[in-house]
Amino acid sequence: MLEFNETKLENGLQIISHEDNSSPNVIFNILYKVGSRDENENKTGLAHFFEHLMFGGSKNVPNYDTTVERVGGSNNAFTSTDITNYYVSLPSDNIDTAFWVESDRMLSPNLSEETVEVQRKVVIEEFKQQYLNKPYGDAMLKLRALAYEKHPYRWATIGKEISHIESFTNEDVSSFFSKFYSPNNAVLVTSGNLSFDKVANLAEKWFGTIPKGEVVNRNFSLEEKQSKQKRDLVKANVPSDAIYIAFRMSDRRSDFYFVDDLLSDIVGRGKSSRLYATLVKEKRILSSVDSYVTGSIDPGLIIITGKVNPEFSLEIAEKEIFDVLRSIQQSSPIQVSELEKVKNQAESSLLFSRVGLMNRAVDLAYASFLGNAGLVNEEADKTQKVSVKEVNQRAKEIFKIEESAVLLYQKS
Amino acid sequence: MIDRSTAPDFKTFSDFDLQKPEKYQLNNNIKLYGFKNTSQPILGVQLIFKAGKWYEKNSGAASLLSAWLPTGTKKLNSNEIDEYFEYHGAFKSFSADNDFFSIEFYCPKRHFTKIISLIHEILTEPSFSQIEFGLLQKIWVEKLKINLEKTSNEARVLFKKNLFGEDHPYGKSLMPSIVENFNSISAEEHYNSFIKNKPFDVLLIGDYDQETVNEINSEFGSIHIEANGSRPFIPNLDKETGLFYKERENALQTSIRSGNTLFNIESEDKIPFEVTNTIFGGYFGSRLMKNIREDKGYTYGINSTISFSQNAGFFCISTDVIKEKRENTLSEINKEIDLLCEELVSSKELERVKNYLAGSYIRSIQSPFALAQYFKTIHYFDLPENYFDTYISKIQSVTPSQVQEMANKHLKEGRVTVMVG
Repeated sequence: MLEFNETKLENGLQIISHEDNSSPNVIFNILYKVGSRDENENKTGLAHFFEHLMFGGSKNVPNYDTTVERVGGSNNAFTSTDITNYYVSLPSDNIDTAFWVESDRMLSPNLSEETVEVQRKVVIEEFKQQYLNKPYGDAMLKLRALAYEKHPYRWATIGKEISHIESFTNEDVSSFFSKFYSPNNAVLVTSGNLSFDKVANLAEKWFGTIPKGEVVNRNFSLEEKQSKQKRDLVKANVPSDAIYIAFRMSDRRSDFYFVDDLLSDIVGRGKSSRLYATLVKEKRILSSVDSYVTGSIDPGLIIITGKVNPEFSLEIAEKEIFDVLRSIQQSSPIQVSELEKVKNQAESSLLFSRVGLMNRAVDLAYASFLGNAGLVNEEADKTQKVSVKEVNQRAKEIFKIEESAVLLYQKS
Repeated sequence: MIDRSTAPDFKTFSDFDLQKPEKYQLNNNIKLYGFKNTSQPILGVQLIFKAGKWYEKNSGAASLLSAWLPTGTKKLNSNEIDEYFEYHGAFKSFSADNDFFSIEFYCPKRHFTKIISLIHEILTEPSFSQIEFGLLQKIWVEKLKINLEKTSNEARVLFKKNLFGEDHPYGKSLMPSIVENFNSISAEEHYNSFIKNKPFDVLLIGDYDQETVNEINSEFGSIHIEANGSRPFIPNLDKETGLFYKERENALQTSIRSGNTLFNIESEDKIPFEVTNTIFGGYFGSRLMKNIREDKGYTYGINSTISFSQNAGFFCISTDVIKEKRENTLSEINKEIDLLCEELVSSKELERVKNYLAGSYIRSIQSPFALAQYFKTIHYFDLPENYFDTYISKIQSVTPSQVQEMANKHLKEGRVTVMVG
């Protein structure tokens, strides 16, 4: 159970506080409700690029990082398809500095040409390091483009291609800022050695005078029902053949999400999962296999990945994966004990993830983004209540060949 | 209106006493160290043996044993073991590093009894199945091949080889060819020489009570313990200084690893050098980051890290840069070293780094797992029990001329540099 208090400033900034005095530390977390789904299809990667620019200093804080480091703190950020999240971790004695630097960059970040040009180079290097200069690094770029046709999830957070990053103008950057970086589009969370009263006062002091921005309206084109499997074959200099299969799952706010998440675990989490036990251990067709959910706020994907052992062909490996999935739908449905296992794993993961202050802050901010911070304390129950009937039903609905996207890497 | 133009006041940090472990002794004199924290109903146990790479007779024995050991007991096969851990929401980890072989598990408190008895069974009654060994060999070879495709991994392998020498345990990396040709008997020998009936320490972390300690005693306190074996011979360092470049035509980036061996952790240079290295490349605002990422844009990141094993320490500068800029990067690194050697660091920059290090230390102590980590450093490097209790004042007392001295002494000469890509 995570205890928290909540309030909202007049300019719309949501404030959440979770107090824990067992260490002298605090996490200051600010989530902006903007991600790569909010980008124009010809300017992809801008949300993540903007995250980099936010570290270029602001009107009264010439150097963001060194200012935080000088008071004993550290900071970082991440961008996803749906959100951009920034956090500062510091001894709570110096919390004022976190409020100062974060409010200053919400008000007036330094978006100078110099900052833009340097970060353009840095992000292009990040693109190469994470996505191009390693085997299978571009898999998610290709798989998203295959699985989605209309929704902005069809490109990855880093962007579709380097040329988009090369094309951002100062105008793109400043209009992105004024559209999305407003107090009414953000959630501020502190977790740690800081009382709610103090948080509320500091928030009012530093953020209260920042003007409200426009309300963001979103209207994404939803995917149509897929009637034919989509396929892509990549011949590349990779160490072994590999398979990526995407199936469509529910959105993060649906009750089906909890069923789909457990289903994915049953299929491919851990060595006793269906795919690992059958294809890695028993038949030795794959050297590794995994299944996970993207968990996005709009309908997401269950992604199954596997590396093929050299004695087997891609065709056989792919057929065998689909056979395992089909067997769940037909001859060997999910058993009660199997469901209990993944529920126990989910419970355990949650307990361990809540040991540190950081995840508590991010979980609260994310729940608020989903619509209600109280969800942090409801989701564990929703997971525990999923029935065997429901997972078996969803296995039949989700694992359809004609509704899948298959990306194959063939060793050249 | 608030004044945004002036930075808020801030406090500097002072020493405090790190929470010390509760100490227990099992019936067979095995020591147990407890780190209590009741905030979540979870428990973790670490069994630590002196049985890492340092003790290997055949290269790869410790690592392969760590993967093989939990794949079967006299009663359970590998599927049943995995199923059992996963069913109870337990995470297990068997691993070997330079010096130690560790068996760890973490689980919700309510499943503890079940998990600890299985760990005992794995430790004392492994089946060492040949079929399982063949399977893990195959999986590892594939995994290692994939890893080595990454320029950064190959650079790390070559760096360690050039730093310590091919025959030194710290200079060796697990390569696909070693795994492929490995004779399983050597892994079993490693178990018999350094794990079976050999001394170990128990670290207990989380929401434990006397009953938990009793359970551990009844599982592990009855194991008969004999004196530990020793390393067959003490290896020589065989350092290859200078630059080694392995080009890859299709690579988009070049991975650079550059560094040198250091004093042992007990040395009085340790803290002044830690401050020096942080200024140089140890935090986001470091000189290397400012120059090579923020100013030149050659890379997504560059850092310099320090690490210590029982028998050697080293520092290593790591970065992946635009291929065409690899030489420029090397000369910028040298420029930054020269600058540290020739000019005194400003008091402003030094103050920032000291506060950053003190703050990082305070921030790192957010969980009982972190306390256990600090304890291991103290315990296994024979540092005084109160070592960290004066850590902050030791950091605060470092002077600009000490920084200059450290740069001249440890950064300047004799580096080993490897580039791949």
